[in-house]
Amino acid sequence: MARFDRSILMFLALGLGVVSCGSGTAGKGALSSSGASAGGSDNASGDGGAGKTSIAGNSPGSGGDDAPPTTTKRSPPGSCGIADPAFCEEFTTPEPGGPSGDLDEKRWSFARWGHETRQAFVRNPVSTIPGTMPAPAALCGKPFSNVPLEHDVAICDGIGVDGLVSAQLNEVYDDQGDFAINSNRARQLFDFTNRTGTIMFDVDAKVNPCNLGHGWWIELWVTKEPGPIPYHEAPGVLSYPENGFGINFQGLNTCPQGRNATEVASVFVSKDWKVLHSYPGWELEHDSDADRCITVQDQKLNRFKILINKDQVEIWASNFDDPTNLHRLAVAKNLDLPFTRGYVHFQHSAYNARKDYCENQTTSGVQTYRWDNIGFDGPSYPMPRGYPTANNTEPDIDGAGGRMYGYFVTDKEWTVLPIKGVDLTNAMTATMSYSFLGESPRTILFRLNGGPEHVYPIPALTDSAGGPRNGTRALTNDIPIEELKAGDNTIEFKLATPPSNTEYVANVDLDVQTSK
Amino acid sequence: MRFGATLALTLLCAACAGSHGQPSTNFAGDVELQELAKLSPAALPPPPADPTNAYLMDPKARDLGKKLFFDPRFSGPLLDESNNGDPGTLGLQGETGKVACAGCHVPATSFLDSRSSRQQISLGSGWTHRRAPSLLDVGQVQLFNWDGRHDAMFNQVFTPIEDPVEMNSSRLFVAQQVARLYRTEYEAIFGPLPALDRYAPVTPNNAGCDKLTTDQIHGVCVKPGHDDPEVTRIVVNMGKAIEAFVRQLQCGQSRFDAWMAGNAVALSDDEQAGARLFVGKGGCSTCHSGPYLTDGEFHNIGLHADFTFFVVPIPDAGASAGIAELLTDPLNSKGIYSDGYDGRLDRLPDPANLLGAFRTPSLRCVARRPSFMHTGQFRSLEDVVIFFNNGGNKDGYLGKSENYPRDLTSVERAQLVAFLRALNGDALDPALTVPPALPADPAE
Repeated sequence: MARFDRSILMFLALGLGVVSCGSGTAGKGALSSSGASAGGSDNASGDGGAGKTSIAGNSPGSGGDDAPPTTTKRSPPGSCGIADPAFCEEFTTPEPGGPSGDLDEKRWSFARWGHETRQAFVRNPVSTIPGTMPAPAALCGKPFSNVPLEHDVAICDGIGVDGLVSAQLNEVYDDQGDFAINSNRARQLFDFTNRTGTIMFDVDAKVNPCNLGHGWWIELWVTKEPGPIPYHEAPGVLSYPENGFGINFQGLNTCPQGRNATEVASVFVSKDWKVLHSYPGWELEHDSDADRCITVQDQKLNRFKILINKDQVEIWASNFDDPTNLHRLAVAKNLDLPFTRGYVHFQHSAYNARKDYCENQTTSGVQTYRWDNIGFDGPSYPMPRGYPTANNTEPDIDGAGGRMYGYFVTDKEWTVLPIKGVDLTNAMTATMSYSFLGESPRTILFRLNGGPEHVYPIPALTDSAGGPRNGTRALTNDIPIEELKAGDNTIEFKLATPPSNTEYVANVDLDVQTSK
Repeated sequence: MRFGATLALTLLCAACAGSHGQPSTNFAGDVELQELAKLSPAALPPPPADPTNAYLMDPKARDLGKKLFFDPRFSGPLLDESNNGDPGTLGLQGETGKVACAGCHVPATSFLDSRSSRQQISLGSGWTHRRAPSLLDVGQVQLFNWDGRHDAMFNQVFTPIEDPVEMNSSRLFVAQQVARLYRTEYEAIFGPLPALDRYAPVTPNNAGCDKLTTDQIHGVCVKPGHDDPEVTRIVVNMGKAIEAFVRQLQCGQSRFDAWMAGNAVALSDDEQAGARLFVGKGGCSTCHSGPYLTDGEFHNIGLHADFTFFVVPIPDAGASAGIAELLTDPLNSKGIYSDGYDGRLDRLPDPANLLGAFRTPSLRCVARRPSFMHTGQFRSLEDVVIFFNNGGNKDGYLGKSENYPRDLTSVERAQLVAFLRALNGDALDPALTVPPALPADPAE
């Protein structure tokens, strides 16, 4: 279908209110990828249409028997645009009820960072802020009000990159005047050993058009260890991957396409808790000045393709108004990655977006991203069984009506977190990942089901001079499988020494592997 | 054959402690060794005489200087909202008395900033635009700041005190605090404090700016007392005491020096190869020359300043602006506050040739730094070497770059990094890093 036609259909779909939350019934649109292209553009045209729903014909609410049938073709369901995916998520089935909202926690580990002045791991109810630019935030295509934690992650229909209805993951938060993060890790292992691996995803990759350092943006991370919120360095956050690779699409507000465009702001590699490389966007290779950017718009998806091997990464993406045509934004060389198997995290970051605005228009500190068709290729390993712990239910102490979802941890008594319904059938190993906010150096104690106490001196996240760095850490511990039991378990934390400030654990998650 | 082995086999002096000092005639024919010998004298030279400060060797001045260095009570309100009280900050936005020299030159970590988030630029009252350098071997420096804005420590302290993103204070408030908190110690060194009763007491909340400026490197809010010589003299003397303290901070000799002195196993094979690259193909010693691996001059290396989470880089003219300001600064070493003048201002380079140029840092103890360049934008020595190997950035900087591509292989880059990591010394007296007891506030 011609782009013009598709854009009309997209307009009609939005204007008629066809986008409804939670149905998850519409077919998925994934376009086949041309694989590891060497340069130029990558036209990912569709190649099939079985079981697919056209926007005007069958979308919920359209009532459009008279609407023209779409001729848009789609790739087979479950491919995510990859010929032989090891992992593909199309968000077709909401799984409500857990700490991650509608997200399927068997496949995903979802983590949040947010705080108020006096309390960390807090999220306030979130609402659309009218009149904000570039457009007031929408959740599932609609304004929203007082959405609480765990209802802030929703699967609902939107418009896919092919212009057809597609179930998508919506996640939203208020940055609460500071740094905030949602980070979503696929539990499936991504293996690019001795090859170039492909990661694909669709997202409306908008940025604050008046960004001078404050705004919202997306990031992609691949980490050797599964620790949540792999990376963010800001006062109080300082999450860090032990071994990781990341791409920041914060944008630099320098695109020739104008303000509603983004680019690769930086590429980052860490090794043994230290920065190995941190390349700003302009040091990367670009095919042309225009090609380094993509145009973006709220609720209009861009398609991304990441081609990565041990030495370099190519970053491809499409403009929002031509989402099936990908071009190469950047190439980063000299990566020297310290790993070739790891976990892929899709991250929504923000930093006090209200601060950077244009003229008299207010920028919203509340923002939603819509994610779709997330996949990667490579060897297919058994999916670990995932078990997130429940979020805390403490009210916030700053009176904003929020909720502390993390847990205090002290040296006085064990902080006990339940894990429900663990299946140990054929279990071989288990890994616990969590966020820890505290001072450094710090030793944390943990145990399972009241069993043996494990001592974990948290590796000092130091500068070269050995100075400690306090903040939130993305931690991972192996769990003795024999200390787990089938069914309900508890994970308990305690500090080895008294803290001088409030310290927390949050985003605690268990992966049980059935293969090594 | 590697140098270490060569030395062991060919130099009888190889095992003679202290026998190395000047390039041996046995270095003849090996240009790289001759160049390396220039970087590694038998003993590192002590800080040169500084006639601008008559109190350098006064133990009382050293003691007072240490206290002043650690004391945050000279600072005004924290302005930037990033000051949220979390680790990595010095307090909450609006709080006063939080920023000391030691807040960004952290003694426990080689007197550099290991505290601020990202460990690149510093968060004092606000985010600085340049990285806080290590103070190890600061006694070797004659032109301070990345841009040469100051030619003596006694005038350098005015920048951090009055800059709204650093201590966000004012000289009158500092002078009044010295009188309140340090009168006895001050007068024992510098004589009687002048009466400042013509001024109303400045409160910490009013000590500095009430909002941040975002369009200049060192914006200053002019406060009462700014042009008062008696007020200024007190802060000048504060700077002289601080210089007496920080002049003691040293990195010291390294494994590289031990290798040059004949310890053939002090450096690994890769480190030895890196040493040769440093003076050879890498071209590093063109600027990083002499015993402290710096020529003390200013160079434009073609650096496109990074965009960070916290501040947007503003065009930074570097030494062309800094040295021009120095020449007209009434506080410079030719002025009335200096205890002597050694002609240093007469030897300055022409600032017109220094657009976008910044001071060459010493590379001794370089591997202890968490970030590099005046912006702190490189966070590993690997990235620094890649930058120079590429010949700097293509654009995005002021002036004309002196940088050029090196064509180092990946193995050579790794060897060069290995050598740079072998430049750490252990001469820093741990006692200098211990916070002193500070005098109680008589009002409390």
